[in-house]
Amino acid sequence: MPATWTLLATANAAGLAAGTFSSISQSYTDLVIVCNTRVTSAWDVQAFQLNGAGSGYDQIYSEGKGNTTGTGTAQIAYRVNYIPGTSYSGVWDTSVYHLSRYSQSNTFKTLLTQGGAGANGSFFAQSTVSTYAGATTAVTSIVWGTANGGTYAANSTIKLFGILAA
Amino acid sequence: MAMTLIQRIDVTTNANLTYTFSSIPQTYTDLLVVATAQSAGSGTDNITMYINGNSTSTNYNNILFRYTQSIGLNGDYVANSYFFAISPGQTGFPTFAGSGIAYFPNYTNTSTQKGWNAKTGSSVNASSTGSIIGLFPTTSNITAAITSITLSGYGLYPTSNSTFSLYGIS
Repeated sequence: MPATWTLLATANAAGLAAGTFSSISQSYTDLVIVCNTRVTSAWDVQAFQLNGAGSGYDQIYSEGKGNTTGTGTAQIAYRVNYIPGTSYSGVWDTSVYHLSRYSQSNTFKTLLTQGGAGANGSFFAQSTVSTYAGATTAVTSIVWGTANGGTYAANSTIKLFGILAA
Repeated sequence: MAMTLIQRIDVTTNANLTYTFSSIPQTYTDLLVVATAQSAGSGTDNITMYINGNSTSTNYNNILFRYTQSIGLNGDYVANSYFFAISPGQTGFPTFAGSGIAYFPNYTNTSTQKGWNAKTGSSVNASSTGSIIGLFPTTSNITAAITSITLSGYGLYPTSNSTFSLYGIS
């Protein structure tokens, strides 16, 4: 567990479908993004773009929903985790995303995802590994948003932390 | 701005079922609980977690997305707040512990139903049914700010050398 976390930015996402963490400091070891969100539509999918790139992502995921489980791979730009909406009353996503060695300029970047919410078996627990293989440049901006264009509900927040190795 | 250890509970007796982080400061952004526990009883058990003294299981809802060597990939959901499995009763492996890390975002908010996201695991031995890895996210129907977090054996008591740590993240 890293010894230090520094809150770099908090996005109050209510009423928005997307936003950007820009001019990200290159002084940290890794980045962590924490989502506590709902959408005003039935549901949506949390999405991220590194440095504004809309393609070049590869994912492998495992997920549980009620008594069912699933695993798979995808190459869909953005896709990382489901967001509950009006189909899931009162349920909030509590996802944590870890982007390691984001400031290196010679490696593909990997985003580890852990998230989900309890909803009487109708919503997901999900773990995803997403690699951005479109470029090796350092990550200086991250676009966050809903993959299907849904709007975040009131009180939705997306936080960006910088962490330093112990 | 930091990750700050608010309180660490080192279990020194086998006589208590529950342990509580109380009077949690409302000055952080998020909370993180890191726990490792074991029990001297027989059979497997779980550490459950509840907030603000509200231990009514129907106020919580779990997804149990897990893998065990004997069952494989498995999903379930329950009206409860399981945090992680402990495998005390595995014959010949009495000291193996279960562990869990739970992240609580926006714990001071008073408008949203509180939930957390937990990663859990217990590796007893390669052939044991007690080994498990899982994601156990939990949603509660509690909208008040979180002022206490209780960890409890589901039936068996956590034993000495179990540890529960609460961090504030800001």
